[in-house]
Amino acid sequence: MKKTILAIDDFETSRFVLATTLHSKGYNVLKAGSGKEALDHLNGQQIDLIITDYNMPVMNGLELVEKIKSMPQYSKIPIFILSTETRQEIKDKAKDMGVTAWVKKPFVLEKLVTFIERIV
Amino acid sequence: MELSEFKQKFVEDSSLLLNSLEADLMALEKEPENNELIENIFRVMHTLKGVSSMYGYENIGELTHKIENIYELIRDKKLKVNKEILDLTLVSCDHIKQLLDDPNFSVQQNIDNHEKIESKIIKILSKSGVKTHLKKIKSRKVTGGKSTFNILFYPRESILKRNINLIEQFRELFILGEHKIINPRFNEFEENWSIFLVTEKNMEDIEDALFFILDECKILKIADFDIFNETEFVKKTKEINSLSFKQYEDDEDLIETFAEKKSEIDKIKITKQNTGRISVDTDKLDKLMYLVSELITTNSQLNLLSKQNAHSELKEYLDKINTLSNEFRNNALELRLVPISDMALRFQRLVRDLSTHLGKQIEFVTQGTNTELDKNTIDLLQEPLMHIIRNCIDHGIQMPEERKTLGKDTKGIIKLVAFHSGNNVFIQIQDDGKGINHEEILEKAIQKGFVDKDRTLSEKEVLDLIFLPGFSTAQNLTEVSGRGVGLDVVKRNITELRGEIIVQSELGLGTIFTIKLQQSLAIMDTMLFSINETFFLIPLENVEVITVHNPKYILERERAKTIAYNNNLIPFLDLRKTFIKDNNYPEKLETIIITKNEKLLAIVADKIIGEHQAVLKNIGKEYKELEFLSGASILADGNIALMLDPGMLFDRIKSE
Repeated sequence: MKKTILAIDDFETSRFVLATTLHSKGYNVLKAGSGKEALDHLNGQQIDLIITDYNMPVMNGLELVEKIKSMPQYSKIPIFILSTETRQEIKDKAKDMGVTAWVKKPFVLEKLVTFIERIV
Repeated sequence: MELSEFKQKFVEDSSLLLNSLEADLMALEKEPENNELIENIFRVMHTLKGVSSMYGYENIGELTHKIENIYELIRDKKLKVNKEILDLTLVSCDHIKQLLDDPNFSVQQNIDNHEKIESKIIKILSKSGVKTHLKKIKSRKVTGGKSTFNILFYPRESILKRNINLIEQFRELFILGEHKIINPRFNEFEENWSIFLVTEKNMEDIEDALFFILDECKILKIADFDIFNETEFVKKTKEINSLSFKQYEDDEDLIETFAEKKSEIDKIKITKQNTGRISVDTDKLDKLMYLVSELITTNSQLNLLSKQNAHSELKEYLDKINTLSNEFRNNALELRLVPISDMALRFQRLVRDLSTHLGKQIEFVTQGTNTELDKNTIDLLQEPLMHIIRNCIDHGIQMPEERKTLGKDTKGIIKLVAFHSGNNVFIQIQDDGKGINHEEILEKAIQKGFVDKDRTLSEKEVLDLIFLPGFSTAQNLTEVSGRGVGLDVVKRNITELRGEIIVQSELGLGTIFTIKLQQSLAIMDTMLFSINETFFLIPLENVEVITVHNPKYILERERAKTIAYNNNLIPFLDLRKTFIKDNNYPEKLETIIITKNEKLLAIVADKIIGEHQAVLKNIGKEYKELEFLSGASILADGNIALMLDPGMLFDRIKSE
């Protein structure tokens, strides 16, 4: 069965590139431009991986993670955060919250895909 | 199915075939003339040859082809089965299992083994006049360009939350090259590992492999070469050059058609089906067990409720649900049961290899190996049993000459016996060796300060000394059984499984270790009793008898810590003192006398409520300190009852 990935980025171009790449690798991709949109997607959907940007207006990546992790039915979904952020304390905080991977931007798409394959 | 899934299936099927092959080889050793066995082995090799080449496991294909040649000669009576051949085939089995993981020889050890095995095969074949050729191993590995890295890994707790499977992370690392030393370094505060990796890959590749746990790793390049091996290829070339054989034209392989290969695959499938078993993910079983336990609890709550409000129309259906859920429970429990025969095969191998190594002649015999036990128990039982068997081989069975002078058969016997009795399963390891010398044991125990010189011990008490930590009777620790773990660890493992171990021995005749276990661990028949408002459970099988006492008597006897039973004084435990900490004794007290390892102990309770089928749950950390609690169970009315661990209760009495 096709695996479903929820991709969240407020910047449309990044969202598009990510979604197209994942789609070409055989994944079902749901796109969201904000944390709120992402939460709407969660309703009743079977999702195998969430990839989110960190730096977003209104609700940033970690705030979104916090919301997702507080919902028992979704708390087990692995989450990748994509970010230019390099401060270790923020990365540590994310990992303590249960974020599976912190992927530094810019990233090599091919590599991201292999990492995804190892988790999904 | 995708190609990789096919490959996975091939690996699984081949492992199954190799296991059956091992059993056949053991049998052949006993009956070297058995044509059916020889035919079987030949066929397995042939099958492996065909399918392995199809999936790109060419090295396995070539190897099995040569072994097939040997068994063809045996089948055609041109060669006789001997120890050399059997040893070689067994070693090949192990090696092929390795190759299933490492088809392209990324591990040096596998290259070495492969060449050793091949040259031995060729020797056997050439003795029988068969010409063959040594083909150079196809290794994708290029010599040189290797570096050695050290990776220090110190996991943080957050890994558990992050859905990261550590084994998979390390698999990614290990496929990069050879991992030479994995050194778990535990201390009180943290655990960490030091891993050496020899690889041609660079730092970035390693970082990618460890991507998910990179923050928890420190990676250091420590050398530009393989620090573990310097002369590898020189040695290899020499070995190959020392053998010179004419090219052996091998047309057969070319003629083999695809159709033929396909039929081989069908054969594998059939072999698998013949075993009549399917493998199920244990997580799924655990989930099922959890659901069953919830069902039983809910069911008993429903029963209680229906007794209070009797709707006669409902009763019929309730009874039916009752019966069904009981059957369901028994069935679910049975799902987890597996026969101990799988384990026995491994022991057979152990006995064979070790006795050869020590120059002893030992036959391993089994009885009742279709007896079933919980899968978890079997897994946890393996180590302790191995340990006992190693002890029997090393210390129990004497050397052939010594046995001869004693008038015994030069061949010693180690017997694994398994049988059922009630809810229990008994496993015995018997040997007909020299037995345990009581005096030696006692002397040593006194010497080590385990026993007071003036105390007289019963025979059984003396034998039980061997289970004390730090006790070892062997004069010198040997390579075989002296591995730093003693029988105390065996005993601890068995106790953790809520089992018992008893040793009996007759000097000069042999020793019997008997392990008593519950068939299933998750659900247990217990006796329910209360003290004040607190409920307790004790396994029904430990309950000997129930007596009634006046609280006055108990209080009087508190100083002596014993009460009278059957003209004897036995120790007692007043749990009210431990748990409840009040002194409001009821008018009369009911006392449960429990027994374990033929010892008695009285537990003072307020009221015996009756039997209870306990679905055991682990208790939280807060209770961990109370080590004599082994779990908790929810009662029909929603109350919680605490499960007492009889073994720990006895230990507590002893230490007091």
